[in-house]
Amino acid sequence: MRTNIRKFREEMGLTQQELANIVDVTRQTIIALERGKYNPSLILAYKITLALKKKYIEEVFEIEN
Amino acid sequence: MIIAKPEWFSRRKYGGWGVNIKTWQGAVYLICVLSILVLIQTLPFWNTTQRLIITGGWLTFLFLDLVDVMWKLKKDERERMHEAIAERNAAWGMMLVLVIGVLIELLYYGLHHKLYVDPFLIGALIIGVIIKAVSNYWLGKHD
Repeated sequence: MRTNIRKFREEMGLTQQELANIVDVTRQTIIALERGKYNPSLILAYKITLALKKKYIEEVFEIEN
Repeated sequence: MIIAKPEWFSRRKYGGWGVNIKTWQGAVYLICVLSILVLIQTLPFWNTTQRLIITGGWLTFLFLDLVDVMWKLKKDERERMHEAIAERNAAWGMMLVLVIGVLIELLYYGLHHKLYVDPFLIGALIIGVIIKAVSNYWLGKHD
């Protein structure tokens, strides 16, 4: 899964730790998500989308073929 | 929570089961509980039986405190998944060794025309089967 977490996070001026605190996960999980190494649950994907002030999950997460 | 707080510790990943000290409060806690253990062993006014009972009581309390901390350790979904996979792999490894142990005992005693298997080996396997069945049943009902 590809994500735009890093792009949107940096646009908002958030550090990985700050985003992790907002969505209640560890910084390591944010790193794994940004690298596309971990597929989050729907709840976490939704929380991250809200934290990054985006309307649709598809803006943040893209499924690779 | 009994005494120790979960935020003082982190999950042990590479050295078996239990917790690692994460903050200075965790280190102070460990020093205190070990000091009390040493104190129990060295104080002169208890006889052996009293000392054994008090030591046992204190160790039971520490065990419960540790279980409480492990239960309440905060983990996010990725850490929970990692832990579950690691525990499953560990269970498979232990089960393999238990089964090999049972087979070796059956073979060894069979060669001596006896039928014997260490009950702890069988017990561990049976308990494993029961826990797996109960877990699957519970998960099927609630998840």
